[in-house]
Amino acid sequence: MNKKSVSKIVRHLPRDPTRLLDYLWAIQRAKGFISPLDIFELAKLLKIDESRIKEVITFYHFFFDKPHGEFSIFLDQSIIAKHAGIDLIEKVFEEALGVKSGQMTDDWQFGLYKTSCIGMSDQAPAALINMIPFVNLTTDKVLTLITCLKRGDELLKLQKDLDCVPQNTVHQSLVTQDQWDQDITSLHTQILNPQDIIQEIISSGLRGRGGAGFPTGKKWQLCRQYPGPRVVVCNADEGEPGTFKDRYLLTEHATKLFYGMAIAAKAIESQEAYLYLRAEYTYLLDHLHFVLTKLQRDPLIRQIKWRIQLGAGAYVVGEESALLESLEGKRGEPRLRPPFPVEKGYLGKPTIVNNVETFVLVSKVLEKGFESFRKWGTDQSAGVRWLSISGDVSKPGLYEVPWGIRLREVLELCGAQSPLMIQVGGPSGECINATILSELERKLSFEDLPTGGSFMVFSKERDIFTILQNFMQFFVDESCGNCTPCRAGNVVLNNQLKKVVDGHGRPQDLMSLTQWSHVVMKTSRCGLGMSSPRVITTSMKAFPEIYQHKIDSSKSSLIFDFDEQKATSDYDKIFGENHE
Amino acid sequence: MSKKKVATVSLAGCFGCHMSFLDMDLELLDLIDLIQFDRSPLTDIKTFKHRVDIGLIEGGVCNDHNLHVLRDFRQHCDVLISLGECAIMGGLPAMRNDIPLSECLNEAYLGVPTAIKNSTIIPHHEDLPKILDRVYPCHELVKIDYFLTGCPPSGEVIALALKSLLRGDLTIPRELIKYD
Repeated sequence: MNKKSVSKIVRHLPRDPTRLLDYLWAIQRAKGFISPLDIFELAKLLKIDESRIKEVITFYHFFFDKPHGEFSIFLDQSIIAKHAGIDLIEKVFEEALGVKSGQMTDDWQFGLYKTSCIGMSDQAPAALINMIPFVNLTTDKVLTLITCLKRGDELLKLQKDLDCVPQNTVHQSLVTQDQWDQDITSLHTQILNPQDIIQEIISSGLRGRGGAGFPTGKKWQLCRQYPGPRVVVCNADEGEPGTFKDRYLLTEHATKLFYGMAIAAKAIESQEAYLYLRAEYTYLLDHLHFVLTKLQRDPLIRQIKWRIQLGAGAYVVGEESALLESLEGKRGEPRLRPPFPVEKGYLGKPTIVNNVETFVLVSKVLEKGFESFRKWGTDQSAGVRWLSISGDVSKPGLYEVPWGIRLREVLELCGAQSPLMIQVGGPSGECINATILSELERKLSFEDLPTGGSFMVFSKERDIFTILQNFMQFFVDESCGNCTPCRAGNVVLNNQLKKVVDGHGRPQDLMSLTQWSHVVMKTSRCGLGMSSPRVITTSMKAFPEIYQHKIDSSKSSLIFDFDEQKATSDYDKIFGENHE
Repeated sequence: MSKKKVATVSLAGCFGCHMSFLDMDLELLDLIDLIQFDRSPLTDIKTFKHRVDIGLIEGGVCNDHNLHVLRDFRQHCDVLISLGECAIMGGLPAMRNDIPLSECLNEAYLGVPTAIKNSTIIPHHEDLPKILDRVYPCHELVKIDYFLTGCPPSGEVIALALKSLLRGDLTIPRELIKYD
């Protein structure tokens, strides 16, 4: 174990509590975990309370306050990974290491854990080992991997040798892919003044690509109304299960991304730009720093103060106000709104938060002009968008499609195999019955079927309830717990769904599910709770028959199923069953 | 108009809700013109002889006897009301829900200062009900139509609830059941 003192480890960081996440990462990298003593020293160093550090450590999945193994292995638990056989992989790990999931080997060398979607759904099953992704895992690969790690081989070398390096398979691209055909400086000279930029973006009809679809130009204009200094933030916390398009854009189009952010900074006259990168994409951090350093030659980039903030694993941080909290080095809990970030964002400054794809498109719009962007898409949904397609398709991967594309066309593109259900926009999106032809004529667009980029296809062999329960469990795990409707409501919904799935449901349970969904949606603080019940409401609409099938209407609807034998088994065990 | 029949019972409760019922004072005289008590500790009638209009349940379900009584109530009452915290959420008895039953019984009977070593036992007999693994709120076991909150709900609330129910639908002014 590393005996270095905390102050030595964090020497390179400014004494600033808003950089707490960076401090914790640095300590954890050096020592493996963050001990009470480290917390004590760090609190003294930053002149903050110890509880302030503890609350942050316990909030994020990837900060450990206990030893976690020299190699901490996190298995992707998304439904796509489940279908691809992550449970088998888990068993192989368990048997080879001699531990159960959630435990550490006796010699502290390996720790085996579970985590939510890690953004590798096109290459499932996948796992993170010390934050390095290993994709396309097979039982053979796992066995070799463990042998080699025990022998002392390097992780990155093994990743290559075992053919587990993440690939970005692009099956269709329309505008983003083509060459960056203009000289960077010429783009710079094109940018006349902030108002022109905003006008150009408004004319292009560009809407946010994170999911909510707020008009980008309007957001920037709103932000300008408030006195500076203002801040640009890029949301690269791509947590929605089944999404991985930002991973691709960050890998292949980082230049366009940084230019998009620089253009935004120019438009709102800001000198600060932050990129919040999800912890699961830690492996992209060096690459992003490299690209950014290379771009420093350009004055447009150079005049901005940049920071790439690494997250630490929390789905809810994808919500913009939670992201800002996290960026300030706090627990990533959503704020009450209003005030919206455009008025009071990062450290109270007016802030625009946009998705990776939005910024990439911004630089594209500025490069090509808004007319060429507008020629794609529909009236309300201009341009193109990236889809991350995964599941039971012959060609999982990345597709750039125009808005307004019909589901049928998407299914043809990706080679869907006898599809039964499509989950558009991830678990918080919409469940579609793919066997109804009229549903397949629906269009991906803000007018009809909005999506944040996740597109999961499930074939007729899949059990819909298994999928829905995986989604609900995801929301139960990822609720930050700040507001009661979301913290408790998702548990209630999950339990009620289980009751129905287990065959104990009565007709009124379906009604109750709907009512609870309504309560959670209407009263939750942020988008997580506002959309999590959609798992239930949209699937009830798409597949009413599977719910009805689970309901036994012959039984009394007044007296519920109750396993009395099980409930009294403890008692019988204490006194012997035959005492009667 | 014939009087409506009301049945009441205390399961895993403290009879506090029943005491609250008696706290109605003069209100009880008004009420008695409208209702007639059937199976209830107030009448000492212990079985249902016929159908009853309204059943009031105090307390959650902590043993198999509670379970059977609750089911019996559901079968014989047109409208069933969970009366008070314990019936609605398990209440104080539910504090044992996180503790294994054996540990709980040992603490209650053998670990107490009054226990005499080697001679005190945990009471159990075929005539005694079996304790369940945890305390259940009533609505997890049978359909409950209304929930009257409070620990206990005041006599005023119970009277209002019954009267309004007899008129059609159970409505109570929010001020009366807002406790924080």
